[in-house]
Formats: sequence, C-alpha cells, structure tokens
Amino acid sequence: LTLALVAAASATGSWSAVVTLPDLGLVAAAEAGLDLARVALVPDVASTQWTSVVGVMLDTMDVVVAGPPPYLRSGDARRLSSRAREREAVLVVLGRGGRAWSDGVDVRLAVVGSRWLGPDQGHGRLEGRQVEVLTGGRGAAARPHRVRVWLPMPGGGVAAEGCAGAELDAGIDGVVAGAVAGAAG
Amino acid sequence: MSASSATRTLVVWCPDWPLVAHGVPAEVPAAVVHANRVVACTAAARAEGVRRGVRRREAQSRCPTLDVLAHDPSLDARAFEPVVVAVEAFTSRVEVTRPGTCAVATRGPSRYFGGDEMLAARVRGAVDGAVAVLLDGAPGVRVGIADSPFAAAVAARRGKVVRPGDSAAFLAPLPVDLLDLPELTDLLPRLGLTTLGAFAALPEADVAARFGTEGTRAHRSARALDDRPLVARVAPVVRCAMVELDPPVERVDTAAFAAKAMADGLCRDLAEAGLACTCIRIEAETEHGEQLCRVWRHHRVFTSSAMADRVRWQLDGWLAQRAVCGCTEGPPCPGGLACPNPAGGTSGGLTLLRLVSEEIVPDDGRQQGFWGGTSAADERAGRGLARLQGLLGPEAVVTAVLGGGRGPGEQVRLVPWGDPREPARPGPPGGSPPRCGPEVAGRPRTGERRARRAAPRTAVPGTRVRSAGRSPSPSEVPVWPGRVPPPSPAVVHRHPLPAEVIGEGGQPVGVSGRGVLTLAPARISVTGGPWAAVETWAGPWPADERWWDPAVHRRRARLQVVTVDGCAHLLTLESGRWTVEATYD
Repeated sequence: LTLALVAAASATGSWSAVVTLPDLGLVAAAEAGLDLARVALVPDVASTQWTSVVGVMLDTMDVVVAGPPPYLRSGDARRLSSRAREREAVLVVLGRGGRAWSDGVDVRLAVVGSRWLGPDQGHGRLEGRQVEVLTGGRGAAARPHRVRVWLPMPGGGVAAEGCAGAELDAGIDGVVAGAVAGAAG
Repeated sequence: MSASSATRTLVVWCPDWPLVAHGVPAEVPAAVVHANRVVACTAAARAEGVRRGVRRREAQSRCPTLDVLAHDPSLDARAFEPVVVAVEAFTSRVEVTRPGTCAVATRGPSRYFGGDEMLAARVRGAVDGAVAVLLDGAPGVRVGIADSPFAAAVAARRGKVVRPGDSAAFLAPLPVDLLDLPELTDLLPRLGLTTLGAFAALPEADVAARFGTEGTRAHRSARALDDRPLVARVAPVVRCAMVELDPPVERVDTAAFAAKAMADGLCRDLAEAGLACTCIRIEAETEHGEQLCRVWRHHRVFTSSAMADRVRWQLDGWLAQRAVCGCTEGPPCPGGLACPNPAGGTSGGLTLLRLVSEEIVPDDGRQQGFWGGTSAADERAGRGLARLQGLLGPEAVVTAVLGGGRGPGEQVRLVPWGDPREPARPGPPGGSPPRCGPEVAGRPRTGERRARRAAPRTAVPGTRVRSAGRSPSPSEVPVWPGRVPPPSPAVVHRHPLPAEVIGEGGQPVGVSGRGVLTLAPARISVTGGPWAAVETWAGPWPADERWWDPAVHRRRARLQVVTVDGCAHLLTLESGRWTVEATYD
C-alpha cells in the first residue's frame, strides 16, 4: 500500500526517501512505478538520530517514508508534522507510530483484509490481490471509509473496484496535501 | 614554468593502492579487476605471475587461489583522504596525482624539517601511520625526492632521495618505458634510443619538430625539468568576519545592524574568491566573558541578507533570555545540536560578534534547467543527502540499482549516494516481465536439467553459451530464465527467516531430486510461531545456480504459499532447510 502511495508522487518526478526500512522490496517498488534513481535509502539509523534524519529528509525531499519510530515524544511528532506541512512534503509513517502520532495524523490508512488470486494447489503463480483499506483521520478524512482495491492488479498496477475510485483518489490527494499518514501494511 | 625551471618535489607512493583501499594485505594473493583486466594486484599475486593488464581468466589460471575484487575508483579516493591529510600536516599544498600517489613541492618544508632525508623519513612515518589504520600488514609506503615531479615519481618507486642536481644523471640509465606514453616508448627504442639519457640528449627543437607537444613534455620529463606545474588541491578555507562592539550592545536591533555590515563583508569576500557558504557559525562574547556560539545551515548558499537574518534570530534568542549558557568554560562549543546548553542566553551586553564560514562550496551559480536537466528539487535533494552523509557516514545513504538475478533480493544493488549507479549483474531493467518465467516452464519434470539450462548467459568463466554458439555482445542482456515472476514481494528479508513446512500428516515437506514436492504443504510456521494452514500454493521452482563454481554454487527451490489469513510468502528450500525469503505484503 505504501509503495502505491509513493509511486503516484514519484511518477511526476518527485524525490522520495525511505528511512529505516532495510527489508523493503525494491524490485516491487520499481514495479509499482517508483523511479529508483530518485529514491534515497537510509537503511540503518540509530534510534537517537531518527528524528533528525527524518527532519533533514523532510526539508529536502517531497515524500518521506519512515519505518516505525523507536520512541517519540509527542512534541517531536508535532514538530515533524508541522515541518512537513510548511515544506509541503509528505511524511508516511509505517506501523502504529506509537501514542505520539495518535492525534496529529491527517490521514490514516490500514489494510483490514486481503485475498491473493492466482495460485492453486501447486499450479499457477501469485497474480493479483484484493485488499480492503480502512481510511480515517481528521478534517475531510475524518469519516471512516472502507475501500476495496486491487493491489496489485493482475498484470500490474493499482485499481479501485467499482465506484470507490473517486473516494480513493480523494484520500490520496489528502495525503499529498501535506499530511502524516499512519499506515499498516 | 620557464624554459629550464625545475620544482624539487617529494612524491609519496603507496604501492597497489586499490588493494590497500580494500584492506587486503600484501601476503594475500588478490587482484582488482576492471573490464575483465587486472588493474592492480598484491605482491603475493605478483609472485605467482599475475601482472597488470592480464585478463581475469589468465590471472586466475596463473594463481588459482586469487581473490578477485571489483574496481571501485571512488572507494580508492575516499580511502586515500587520510593519507593526504597526513601529508598536509607537513605542507599545505598537496597534489593528489591519483589515489595512491601524491606530490608536494619540498622547498619550504625541507628546510624547516632539516633537509630532504629528514623530511622523507618523517612523511613516510606519518603516511605509514595513516595507512596502518586500513591494513594490518606492512603498508610498504615509499617516498622519493628529486628535482622534478617526474624524477621524484621514479625516485619514489625506488624509495630514493636524489641529491639536488643529480636528477638528470639518476634518470639517464633508466629505460624510456617509464615515460608511460605507449606511442612514444614504442617508437624510441626502434630509433636506437633505449634510455632516458639518450632521449634527453636530443636537441629540444628537433624533438619538438618530430614529436610535437607530447614529445616535448616527455623530453622535459627525461631531462628532469618540470613537464607541468604541480596542481595543489585547494585546502579548505575558513573565513571569518569579526566586529568589536564598544560600548557593549544590549539591544537586538543595534547588534543586528552591526551584523548586517559584517555579513555583507563576509559574502563579498567569499564571492571574490568564487566561493559561497552553506553553513555559518555565529559566535558572541559578552561583557562578563561568556562565549556563545551556534551553527546555522542553509539548504542553498547563504546570501548576505539570509546570513544577517540568522544572526538577528540568534541574537534575539540570546539577548531575550538572559540565562547563563553552559558553553562558557572549556574549548569553544561545537554549536548547533551539539551545544551542551542549547537554551543559553547572556548575562550582559555583547562586546564581540564573530561570523565564521564553516562550510564553503564553489559558487556555481543557480541557473536551473529550462527543460529537463537538474531541477531545483534534484539539487535540493542532493544537498540534503550530502548533509545526511556528513551526519551518518558516506555508506549510510544509498540508492538502489536493479540488475539481473532470480530472487527478489539478488536483483538489487545498493550504491552509496554519489557513486556511479551500475548494476551488480547485467539483466533486463526492473519491472519488465520475464520472457521465460517459471509459469512458462510449468511444473519441471526434470528440475536438475532444466535448472542447468537456466544458467545465465553472462561472461563468467566456465559458462557455455548454448543458444547460438557465440559469445553475447555487450548490448545483449541475459534474460535470467527462472526469475521469480512479478508481482514482486514488498518485503524482502535481509536475513531470511527460518520456517517449517509440513504436510497433512505432519511430516516435513521436501523437494525431490526431480524438482517436485514430496507431498503437498498443509501448514507452515515462521520463526517457530504458530502454525498457519496453507490455502493455496504454487511451485516449486528449482534453481541450480553457478554449478560450475563450487565456491558460490547454490541449489535452491522456491515456493509461493498463501495462508488462510491472507499472507503470501516466498519460501526457499536450501540444503534441507526452509526459509522465508520474502513476504508479499
């Protein structure tokens, strides 16, 4: 889900940074549409430096994806959010993000169910997946939504199912407007 | 450089630098290879007959235990920096000829340190110390001094100090090959000129008429004259501007007014030298002797008004708070986030204000691309990453390059930011569907044979090219049959997680020599966790890679498994153990 979010921005030539996610599948990132030449990776960050590294990245990058922070005071979290808003950057924090992010998050996305299509008892291969995404947050995104998405579609790409597409776009736009999203999955 | 000028030069030469940079001691047979040719090798490899310029296979056949390392010019240069710093302790103008060799003019330092011999011994000691950090064996650094850069380089190879005036005689009996100009050194012996002395004896005008500019320069080298001026590297400059305030200033606006003039002066100074500043340190002293300092950084370069703004903001903070800063005793505060008491203030008026440029960069203007090219965002991102590299070290900030490979992890190579982006193995660009994935191969009946055929057609020793009986041209990319098909997993475990796979009856599942599962998987457990029932599965896809090389030979079988809770894993069986290589998240 995260990769799909970042890919939309990367397609327009934005820079993105990935902090403390050493296990991220970069081939999958390229398949999702990320331009790897414009993705900076900082795989190992000491927990004391997490805030300053994310801060520097927010100053210079358009999209910052960060792994779960070690421990964060809510003041630091608020400061990072406002820095993102001021620079018109997007901070995507994976995992629950601790209590620090509990109120400051603009959009919250969570995968609540997923179903893979493709393989059978020994035949075929993984082809596509349908996931159910629960959105929430504050402001325009406060009303919880349940969206079914193909992630990825058989043959690549992302698509919403049925008429839910408009709502999904709105959700992603909200994120790009300078938000902090806590996404699981 | 006049017609007969000669700059007495000291040359430091670290033999086999690319290997020292990799941390390989001279006793281990190893070679650094670029474009399939040996670029450098250790003394142990040389004793076995490995030479510069031989092909990799030739080198490996002469010395079967040879360690082959990839050529990495940026690593060489980075590793050489401590050596340059060690030499810079003696004199400020050091020329880095190439990683592994640097030169300085000896006139001043030689007198100061008590003669050429003493200087050479001291420099060797200092450089030995700097190299010993990289290497636990004897580094074998050599230092030579002679009347011209070329003669000094030759003297350094022999570890000799040539007395003033003797350089031409020192060079005279040596072969012309040392000039390192293949066209010229091929021709001269055929003209009967085998030594540098014989070449130097020719009249200069005749050499110029016959061999042109290149020849004239070689002729000057052979006569121990300057063939080119030493190009010293620009030592980092620190510039500062200072103003004493009398009477002590208590008000922000008064101090800011003084700071504005100071910032203007500093910026003008830098601009005259074609430089700009990206980081400044603001220091102040109060009438009670307190010293305050803080570092400010700009994501572009500082203009004078931006600099004055920073000073005003900082003074605002200091003068408004009136608390005592902990930075008064001891050495000057490192400033910025490292300041032990960031919420410091002053207890009196300011008497001194100083602006120091901490980080200076060449001012290359700010012209942005009209169409394409580097955009403002690219530049900004580059600066941010450079800053992070300063914070965490050059290896901590990387970008990824996709190359060839079968598993999802093998296709990625991480390159430190700023190094050239080249894939580890040639392959189709990422994201393109494989022409011959496992789904085409179907359920392999004879896994062993199929997998052998799946060996990549790259230029690796022992590879037989089966398709058309010709070697692949550089533009031809291998197709990596047997690649795990897209969609690729979003989580690739850096250290694969151990897993257990059992069948319906609880027996462990294996893969037979013919590449089929011994029984259908029913439940899996990852890292000893709870058992999850398998809903569907696909595979196995055996891969027998690099069977021609026992050292890196791997036999694996991959299996895609979807459990009832919707998780999909890529499992790998290798030497009887299942691991989770990646997770489709």
